[in-house]
Amino acid sequence: MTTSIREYAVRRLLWAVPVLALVTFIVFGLVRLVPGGPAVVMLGADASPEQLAAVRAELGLNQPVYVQYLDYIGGVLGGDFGRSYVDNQRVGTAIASRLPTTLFVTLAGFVVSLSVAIPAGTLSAVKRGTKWDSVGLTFGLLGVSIPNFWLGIVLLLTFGVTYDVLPVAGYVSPLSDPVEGLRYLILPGITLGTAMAAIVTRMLRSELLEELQQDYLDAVRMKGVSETRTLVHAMKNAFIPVVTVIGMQFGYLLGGSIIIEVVFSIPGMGRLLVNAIASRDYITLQGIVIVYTTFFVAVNLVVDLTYFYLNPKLRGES
Amino acid sequence: MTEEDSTGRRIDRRSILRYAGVGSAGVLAGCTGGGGDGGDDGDGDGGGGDGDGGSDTTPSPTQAEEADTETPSPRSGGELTVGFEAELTGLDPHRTSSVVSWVVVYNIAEGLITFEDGQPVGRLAEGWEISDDGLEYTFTLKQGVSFHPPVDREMVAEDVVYSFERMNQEEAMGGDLAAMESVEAEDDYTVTFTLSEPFAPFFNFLGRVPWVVIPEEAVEEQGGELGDFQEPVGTGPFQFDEHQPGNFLRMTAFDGYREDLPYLDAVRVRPVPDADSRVAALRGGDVDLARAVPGRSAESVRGDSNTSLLRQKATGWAQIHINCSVEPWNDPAVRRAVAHVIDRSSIVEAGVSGFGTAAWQPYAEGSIWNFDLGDSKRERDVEEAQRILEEAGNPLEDRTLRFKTNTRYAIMESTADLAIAQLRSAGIDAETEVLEWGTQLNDFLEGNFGAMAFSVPFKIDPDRHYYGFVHPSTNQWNKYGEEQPDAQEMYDLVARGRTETDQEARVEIYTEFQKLVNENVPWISIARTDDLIGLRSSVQGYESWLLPYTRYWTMWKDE
Repeated sequence: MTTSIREYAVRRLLWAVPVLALVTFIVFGLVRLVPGGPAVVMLGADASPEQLAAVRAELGLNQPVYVQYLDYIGGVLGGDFGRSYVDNQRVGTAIASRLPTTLFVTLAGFVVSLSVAIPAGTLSAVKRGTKWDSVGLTFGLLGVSIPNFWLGIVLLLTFGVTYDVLPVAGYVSPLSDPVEGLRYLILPGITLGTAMAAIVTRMLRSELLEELQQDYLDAVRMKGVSETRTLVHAMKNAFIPVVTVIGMQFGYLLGGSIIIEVVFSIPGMGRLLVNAIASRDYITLQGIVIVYTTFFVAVNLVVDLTYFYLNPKLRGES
Repeated sequence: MTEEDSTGRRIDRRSILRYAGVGSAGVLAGCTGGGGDGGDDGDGDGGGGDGDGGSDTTPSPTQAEEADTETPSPRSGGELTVGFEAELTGLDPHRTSSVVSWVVVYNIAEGLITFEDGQPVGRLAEGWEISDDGLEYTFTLKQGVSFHPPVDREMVAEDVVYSFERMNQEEAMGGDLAAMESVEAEDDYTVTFTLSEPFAPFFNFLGRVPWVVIPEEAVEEQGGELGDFQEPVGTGPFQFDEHQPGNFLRMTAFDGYREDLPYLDAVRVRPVPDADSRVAALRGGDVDLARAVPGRSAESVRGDSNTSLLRQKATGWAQIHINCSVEPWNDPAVRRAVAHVIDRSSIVEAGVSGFGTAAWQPYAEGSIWNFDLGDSKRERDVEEAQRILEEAGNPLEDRTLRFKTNTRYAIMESTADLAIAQLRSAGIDAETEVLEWGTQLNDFLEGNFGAMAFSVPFKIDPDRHYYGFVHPSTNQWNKYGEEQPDAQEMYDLVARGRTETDQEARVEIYTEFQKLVNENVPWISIARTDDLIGLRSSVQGYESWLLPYTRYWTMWKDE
């Protein structure tokens, strides 16, 4: 009997439940282990013990941790992520308003990286040993070596200050103003996408090189198929491991957008996370981590399903 | 007789007393307060945002680094974009403790008084009287002050009562209102505060940002609870327009403002938390004004023909806090010796790129609270340090001194790094312990430290600094116990400083106190740090007086 793609997807989805539960548990515990609670950070150095106690009581932080946890999980299951300790806003609303921004930034990085990596990797493999290959390899090395916050600042100074052609701080949603929105996404996209572009370029190059030396391609060539068509054959097979890497990288892009949002002053979820950590806003922090985890799980699922589609072996006998 | 305020400006003492009454000793300059957060005010290099949220400040005039001789007349219109060092975390004035939120609130809602040229002036109040015993403060309110739409009605005494009662609930303002027994409306334009005991700093507190007057109906409309008032309605020159959290906040000119202000049509506040990005945004023209420019970027702002740099002196006070109850710091000889090893100037160079002054006390020369320690001050003198230690029987032999610090605030990081380097070169073993800021703050509050690099915003009233540091009835941050030299006398001095209503007597009290601090070193003062503001050349009318509460209503764009 063969495993259908639907069966596979359902199984994977069910696995996501314990993963998410475990993550909430770990995050809940970890943030509370860090010294300096929200009351301390909110009230600052002038806080008296009475004030601290009053604020802790108000935030429900004087309850036993397991009670807090159960309350929280109960709320989350009912779709209520609670209210921020810092500004009393609904965490669900705050995340919902910032998630699209982060997704756009991530997507921009994704688009930049693939539109660079696929041609560069292919060219590098096909023109192996030429100067094209050297360029591809150098890019592959530099791209992974340059810290992206540094690259961000360099781009920002070059295109935002010296040439002043692109905006450097802020964000306009591409949905409300596509042209202006894209202008705001160019530099963050390049900054975020460079490292992934480099990784995918190197990966694609080596996979493709290996594939191009396979015997079956000689058979294809003997049939009189053009070199381009042969390459397409090779690429489909070379892509199987590359897709895994791309999928994993998408997750990293989502994480990488945190620093990008800080450098480019983008009001996304990443910056919300940074603020929540600094102010020990546990509730907001937990909500964001749950959302990030959900995305990782979802991305992994999509990767596996794509893999499943690309690799017939997986669809074989179970 | 004349006296100098902290700006160095000479002012007539009688006029101060006339304005301020005898009960308000600290009124010479600025606004006091505290209870801020310190946690979310971003890159406070330069000393602005730290210890307790930058709630206090000096009105010392901003010094334009680039001489700006032409003074064009104000022009109306335009929108000013301001780069903030942190996101706005909550806009309910009676709840938020974030400095950047206060800057916004300051332009939207108003308190009873404020300070101008170092002296208290009415904002919503027309005048005031303080009873001789310092227990009753009666304010006459301005007439014809109206709230923004949709409230659109006159502000009256009941609104003042409502606002103060609101901020006094749930410990919202902590101990600041503890001395307030009652607040009552005598008629529509008269409000009386009654204190349970004389509390000299009370008057200054009235100029603090959170002590603003807001209309009850607008609060109820937005949910009613403390913290719900996120679209503030007040009587100020700007009214709330739109807030996209994290992206921007926009406020627009209030047509019904009682004066012919503001010049600008609108102000857009844009959080740009990364300091380098903020400077880049200023130079690229994405923002017109950048707050909290780090010292290391000063050259690039100065060097750009489109931008200029303003410097506001002594907005922060950096010190090494010492827990006098733990070994080896409980030995006064150790504290005295360390105070002689520290080279303050090098810390100012490293921590804030020279934008500060080596200091032995928070108050600059020229402030009435400044006391010239003369030759007695403990300057760097390694031989003296060694002599003190030898005399005390070498208490630091085989010991390592540890300094807690963080990397969030450059001045604190440099203080600790250079202190240990200087101690080591003097033959005293020392190391730093780098913590995340929230963790360090927690250790500070719990007394879990021996020595700690710290920095607090300038506070105009010395009570705000010293009382909490040493007095056993409070947190007693420095754990200066009764066994320490002159402890009882130091407690008495800070207690008297708080209730004494005669200004001259208070100056005497704090002078005595500072002498004892220099003698016994419960903490080591390091530096007064400056705040830097970057401006596009088109921006005019920036009048700094109560930094960090910028008055956008005096500004305009010349383009």
